[in-house]
Parts: sequence; structure tokens; C-alpha cells
Amino acid sequence: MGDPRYGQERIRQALATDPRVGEPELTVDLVAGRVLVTGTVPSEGVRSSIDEVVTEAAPGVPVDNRVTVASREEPSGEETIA
Amino acid sequence: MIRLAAVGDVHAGTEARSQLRTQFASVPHHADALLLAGDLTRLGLPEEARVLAEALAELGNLPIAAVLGNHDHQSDRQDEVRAIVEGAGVDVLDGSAVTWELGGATIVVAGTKGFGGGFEGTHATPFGEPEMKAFAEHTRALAGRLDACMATVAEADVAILLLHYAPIRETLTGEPREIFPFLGSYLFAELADRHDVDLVLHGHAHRGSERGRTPGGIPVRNVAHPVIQQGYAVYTLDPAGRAGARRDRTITFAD
Repeated sequence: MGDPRYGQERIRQALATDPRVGEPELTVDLVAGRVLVTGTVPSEGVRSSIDEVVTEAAPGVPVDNRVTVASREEPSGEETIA
Repeated sequence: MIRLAAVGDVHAGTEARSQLRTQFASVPHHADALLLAGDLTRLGLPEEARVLAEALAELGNLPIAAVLGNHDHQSDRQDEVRAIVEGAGVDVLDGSAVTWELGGATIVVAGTKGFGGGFEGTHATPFGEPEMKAFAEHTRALAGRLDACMATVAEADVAILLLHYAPIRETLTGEPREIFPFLGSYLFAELADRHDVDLVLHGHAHRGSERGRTPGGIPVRNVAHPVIQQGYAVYTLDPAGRAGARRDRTITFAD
């Protein structure tokens, strides 16, 4: 049985390189026996693929997917650069 | 006043075609030009670039400049990505600059992807293994090319430096410090100070912070999409303000 931190990093590597997700900027933590994934992705499709990729990399370990989809709303204001 | 819309790390994908159109459709109402700070696509695929190009083509004659990012290199098809985006009328900058006339003012945008290495005091050096030399020398080569294209900045009313990788530590606040050397290089802040641009824009650092300044005081904004948490940010600059004073100021810089 390896240290769980090795498994944690394997999941992070999978989320970065698997083309269903392809997001090296996500954060992976192990919390209370669950894989907690946080960060922001560009679409709901990518967000839902995270569960698949994590489950394949860590079979049987529950996934807590708290990743958000980037907002595309109009800006609420502007900043004057001085 | 010149209004510039900016966003990085759009990570365009074929699954987000309508969302991308929605994201950019309002830009002409808010800004005079649009700047894209790299990671135009998620996996660097031509079909992803086409989705973005379609959304940008709907903006008509709005001036648009972009740099590529690391995601755009993921599939080793960055030249195709670049050509597709350029086909939508976008100036894709790679150690090059574009000049626009906006509202009677001359705007210069100089840009490069940039790269890693880290920051002053701990920057990577071209020493040791060939892979380490290649890493450090890639950044130096990009900075050298950018420097050579920035002569036009001196005559601009407003000058912008557009990057993907970060030029300073400050806008990385929130990222793990262990990965700072992979997130940017101080060499580009040094160029911003040397050429006295008005604003530096970058992306790449999703967990970073929006605002910072170079050691010489130039405003830096991290416009990574997850950082600004909206479709794009808008910055206004007065061509008669700080930029107008550039020509009168003596810049001292220790080479």
C-alpha cells in the first residue's frame, strides 16, 4: 500500500493529461477518504468529465467535485489605469 | 479614453461554441479593442481554434490581438491554431507588435507567449544539463525577440505588453510557491520597465491575483479567466495622461 500522496499526484497528472479534461491547473486534495477537486474549467462538459477521469485513476474512491465553470458574464465595471 | 477588453485562458473547446459567442458578443459595447492573453484553446487543436475564430469573427472590425499559451502548444499544432485565429482578423503576436489608431490615438500592443524561469534572485540559469539550458535559453530568446520589436513603443500614445506567462511574483499570489518558476519570468517585467509601457497583461496563473506592479511601477493585470471571474475585464487608459508623459521622462535603467 503506497502513501496516499502518490495516488493524489497520479490523479492530478491524469486530470492534466487526459484529453477529456486537459487542465493542469486543477487542485487535488485527499480529505476524509474522498478525492476533493477544486479549480475552474471552461465548460460544464469538462467539469463532468472530471468525475470519470478521477474514478479511472482511483477506482472505488469517492469524488468530491467542487470545480466551477468560468463565468462568461459581461463585466460589471471597468478599471482606469493610472 | 481608450477602453481595452482583456481575458486570458479562454480554453476554447468544441463543447462551448454558443458560450464563447455569448462571452464575446458584448465586447464592442464595452471596449475599443480586445486582447487575448494566451491559452486560446484547451488542447491546442485546430477544431477548438475554429470555434474561437467563429466567435471572434462576429465582432466585425474590432481590433483584436492575442498571444498563444502553453495549452495552444499541447497538441504540437500551434502553427495551425495560430493560422486559424489569424483568419478571423486577429493579430497573433509572437515577439512582434501591432499598431492601431483608436480615437485619434496611437496604440501599440507588443506581445509574446513568454515562458518560465522564475523571478529576480532565483531565476533559472542556462547551466548544466542540455534540458536545463534549453529551458532557461527559451525564455531568454523570447525576451530578446520581444525587446527587438518594442522600438515602436516610444512613439505610442498608449503601449501595452501582452503576455501569457506572468512577469512578476505579485500576480501569482494564491499559487503554490513551488511552481512559480513554471509560471513566469522577471525578464518580461524588465522589458516593460525598460520600454516604459503603460500596462502589462498576462494570464496562465488561474489561482493568482489580478493586480500587481513591476519593480519600476508599471501596472500588471492577471486576466486569467478564473481570476477575473467574468467574460472579460475592461481597462481604460488616457492617451494624454501617463502615456503622454512618457516622451518627457528620462528612463534610467541599469543594464
